[in-house]
Amino acid sequence: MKKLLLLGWICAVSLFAHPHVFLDTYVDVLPDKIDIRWVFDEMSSSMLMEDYDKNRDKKLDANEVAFMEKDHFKTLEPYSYFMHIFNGKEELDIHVVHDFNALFEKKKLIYTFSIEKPHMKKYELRFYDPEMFVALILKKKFLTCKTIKCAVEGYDADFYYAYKVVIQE
Amino acid sequence: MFSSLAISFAEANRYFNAELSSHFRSIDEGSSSAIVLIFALSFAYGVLHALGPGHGKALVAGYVLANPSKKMHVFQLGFLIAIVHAISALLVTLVAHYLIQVSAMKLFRSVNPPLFQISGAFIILLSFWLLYEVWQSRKISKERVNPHKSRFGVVLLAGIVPCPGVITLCFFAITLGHMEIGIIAAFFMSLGMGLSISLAGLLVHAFQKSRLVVTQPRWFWVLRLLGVLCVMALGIFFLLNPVSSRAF
Repeated sequence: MKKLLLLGWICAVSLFAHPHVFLDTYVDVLPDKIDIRWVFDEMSSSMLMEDYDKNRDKKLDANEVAFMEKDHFKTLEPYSYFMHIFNGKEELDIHVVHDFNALFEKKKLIYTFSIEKPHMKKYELRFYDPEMFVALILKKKFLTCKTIKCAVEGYDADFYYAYKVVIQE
Repeated sequence: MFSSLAISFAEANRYFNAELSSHFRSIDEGSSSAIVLIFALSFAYGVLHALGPGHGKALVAGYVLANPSKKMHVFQLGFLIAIVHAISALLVTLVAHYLIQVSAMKLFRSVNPPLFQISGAFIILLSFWLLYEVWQSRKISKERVNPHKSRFGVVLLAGIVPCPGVITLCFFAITLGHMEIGIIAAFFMSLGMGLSISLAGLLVHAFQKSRLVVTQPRWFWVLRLLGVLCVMALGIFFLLNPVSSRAF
């Protein structure tokens, strides 16, 4: 009984993550790059459209996308855009992304961008927000690989809820 | 084990987020049950949401450890914190939308870091007061001490930082033209959060009633001191680690 109570007390103060933004994360591993697509949840989408759809036409024009990239997306650069490459020994940050675009479809905001493929035979692409404010959700059906082996797996990092894509060239 | 539990927890939060969005949209399609479902889901979402960090559970646990209280006061603490937490979120949402005309999340990201630090500084001061109280009542060896008005200070300090979950919910309701339903849903969400926060305090309360503590006066005093140290540590943590001001 005492152990149960003590465990309960520990759980009462435990650090169970509680994200507020949910990103369905689609990964497409291509021969020369990796395309990433984030689909925001509806509530976060409406909040972001409030800030960035300046002419309120429920579409994002080129200027709005450019501002969104600068004011919103690029602020994640210090956080490695919630992605890290694991080469078997250490985690590497991602600081350069390409081809950013944003669109609003079926009431959801979508970000698309690409990253360069690392020059490694086998590596992992790990998706997590260290502040646990954003949940990156990766399902098997969200992953596309052509000509190479890849798989989605859970990522066992203490207190991080995470998914990773294991890629074998 | 923790990370797999955390993934399930995140997925559960996501489920509620998606269901609430869907039912808010159903209101416009003429669904009569949507509003009832929104309130029920908001309550359940609040219970789940408050299991995560940042809703006052650790502060309540530390405070109850330092100030053994009646069950009624533990519930009072938990529910009042949740209500203040929700009211501060509502204020941020309404001010952001109607006065400043930015999204509530943008305003939240601006006000939250300093609020966190101010709250942390006051929590540290509260912990020194609690230390004084524990020292003054050191001859009390069991059960409980008299309820103290400092618990209202705890309510304010824990609840003053607005809940992003309530902000997101309310803002979404406003954008769909259902502000009144959003506010009531926020109230139900705060009731759910109050339940979770109170349970944290009740667990500590139950521990204090355990045979070990009741029969050992020294343990009673040690635990009270431990409670004070927990509160102090939390205050220091908030002061030195405010929420970052990144865009999301």
